[in-house]
Amino acid sequence: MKMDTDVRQKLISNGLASVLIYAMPVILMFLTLSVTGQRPWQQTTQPSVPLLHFYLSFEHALGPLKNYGITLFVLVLGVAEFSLGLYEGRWTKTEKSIDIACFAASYIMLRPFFTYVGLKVLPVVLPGLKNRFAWVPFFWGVLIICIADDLTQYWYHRLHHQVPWLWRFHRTHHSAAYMGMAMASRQNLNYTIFFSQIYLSAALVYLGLGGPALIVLGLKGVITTLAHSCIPWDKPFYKYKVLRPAAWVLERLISTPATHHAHHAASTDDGIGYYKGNFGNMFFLWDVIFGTAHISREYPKAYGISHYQGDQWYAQLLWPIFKSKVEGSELAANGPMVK
Amino acid sequence: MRLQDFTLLGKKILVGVVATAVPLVILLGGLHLTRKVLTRDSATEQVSSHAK
Repeated sequence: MKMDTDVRQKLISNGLASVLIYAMPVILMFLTLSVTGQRPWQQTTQPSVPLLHFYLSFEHALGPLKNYGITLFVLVLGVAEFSLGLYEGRWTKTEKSIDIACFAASYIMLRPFFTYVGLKVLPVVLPGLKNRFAWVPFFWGVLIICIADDLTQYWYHRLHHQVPWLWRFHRTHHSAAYMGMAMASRQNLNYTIFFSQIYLSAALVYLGLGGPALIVLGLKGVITTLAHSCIPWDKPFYKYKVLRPAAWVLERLISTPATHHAHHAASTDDGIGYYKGNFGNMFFLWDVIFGTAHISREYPKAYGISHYQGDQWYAQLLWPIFKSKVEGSELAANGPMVK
Repeated sequence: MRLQDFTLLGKKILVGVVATAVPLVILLGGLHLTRKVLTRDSATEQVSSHAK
C-alpha cells in the first residue's frame, strides 16, 4: 500500500517547519540573553527554582514510592474508572490480558532498560558532554524540553498513522473498543521501546536539563493519561458559558478527552471521530499548527478498529515477533499492511 | 520471524533514530552556538572598553 502524494508532501513541508520550531526556544533564549546581557554559564550556582522545590518535596512525601508518582496516579485513576463502571462490559478477557501485559511490560521491562541507556549508553554516545548545558536557565530548559519531547512524540505518532508500513506497530493502541487509563500504555512493545522522544529527553537530561525534564515529563504523564481516560473531565468546560473561553484555549493547547477520544474513534462518519488526525500527546497545538486537528466537544459513539477481531495478546504485544492467528488480520502472518 | 520482519524492524529503528537525531543536533548545535557567540561578544566588549 502506497502513501498518498498529498500526505507525502504535507509530511515534508511540516517536517521542514518543525526544524524551525525545534530551534525556536534556543533562538528566543539567545535573543533574551543578548538583550539582557546575562551570561548564566558564568554563575557558580544555579538560582533556586520554587516550582522544582515544590515538585521534589511532593516526591519526597511519597517515601519509598517516590519514583512511581505517575504510576500511582494511573492506578488510582484506573480504580476510579472501573468503580464507576465506565468500561461497560467491553473489557473482555483478551482485552484485559493485553492491557495488563502492556502496562506491566512498560513498567517492569522498559523502565530499567531506559535507565540503563541513560546511565551507560549516553556517556559512550555523547562522551564528555555530561551536564554541558546545565547553565540553561530553568524557564528556557522547560520550554526546550516541552517542544523537544512532545513535538518528537507527535512526529513519531503521526508517522505510525500516515506511513502504511509503520501502522501495524501502533495498531494495538487503537484496537480496544473502549477508552481508559490503560490506553496510555497499551502499545506494541516494539513501538514503545523505540520511542524517539524518550531517548531525546534522556539525552537532554544527560546534558544537564534534568530539573526541567522532571517538571515537563510529570505534567505530560498527567495530561496524556487524562486525555485517554474515560472520565470526561473536560465536559464542564463546554457546558458552562463562563468556562467556554477557557475551553477554547484548552482544547487548542493540550489534548483533552474530547479531541483524543475522537482520534480513537472507530469511524469518521459521525463528524466526531477523526482517527486521521489529532496526533498530539501533551500538546494539541502541533495538530493546530500542522493542520491535522479536528476539534470536537462531543465523544464518539464507538471506539477501536471497525475490522478488529480480537487478536491474541502476545501478537498485539510483540508483533512481528509473534503473529496473530486471526485469519486476514493485519497482524497475521500473511495479513495486509493496512486493512 | 522472517527476513522481511527483520527488515521492517530495521527500517522502523532507522525512522526512530532520525526522529531522535534531528532535534538533538539542532538543540546541541543551538545551545553550543549560543554560549560561543555570547562569550565572544562579552570578550570583545571587555577588550574595547579597556582600550578606551
